[in-house]
Amino acid sequence: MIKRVYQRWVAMVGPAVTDREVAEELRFHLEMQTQELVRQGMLPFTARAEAMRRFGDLVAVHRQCVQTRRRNRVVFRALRSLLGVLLLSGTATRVLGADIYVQHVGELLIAIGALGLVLLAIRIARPAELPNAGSTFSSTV
Amino acid sequence: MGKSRTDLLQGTLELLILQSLQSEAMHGYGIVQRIHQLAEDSLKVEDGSLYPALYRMEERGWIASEWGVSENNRRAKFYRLTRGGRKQLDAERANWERISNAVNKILQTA
Repeated sequence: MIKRVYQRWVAMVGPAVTDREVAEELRFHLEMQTQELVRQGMLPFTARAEAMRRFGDLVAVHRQCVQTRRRNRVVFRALRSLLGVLLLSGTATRVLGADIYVQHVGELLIAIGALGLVLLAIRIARPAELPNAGSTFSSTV
Repeated sequence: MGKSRTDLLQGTLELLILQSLQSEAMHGYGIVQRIHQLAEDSLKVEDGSLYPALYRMEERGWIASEWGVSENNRRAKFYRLTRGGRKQLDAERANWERISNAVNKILQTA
């Protein structure tokens, strides 16, 4: 039970899981395509090269998928909403707060919200790691 | 072999993916094969371009994915259409018909 909860948490938060899953999905595609071309009579090496050619820019595709997946995570979406609420309520408090101390609290909330959103954006946009790029995509037959 | 292949219009890939998933859940490779097969190889779809589109569509809630076992006993990620995806397919199909009708009308007058 604890292990399952932990695995679920890692799946939601751990960046490596996303990167690995995307890599596994793309590798499956390349392997299937290579096998099909071999069945059609191509030599394995030529088939793998042809599968890669048909696929296009593997690294760019992997990066795009990983970043979309990160954005789509429940944790990231919840954090983004929370930080957005902090930013808005901070702005409201800063503008409407009658007391100087209340206005400072508003400024603090704005700072936390804005900084959090910037950090989140950086985390989502950081380079995707392509796990074992050599072995992952070279032995496709 | 000598067949000319047409570049896919922007946004059309999503319509083709939605249409491919209409009848059953499929993995990415299966979707590409289905598109090539139905288009009789006359559309130029770079295989890799499918995946960012799939992830975007999942983000929008049009499709959902889960890992399963493929026809050759390999772990593969399968995509299926959601209720929102079915609605989107209807909307995109109607939109496509409107555009192609409009373009056809213009071409007929030329």
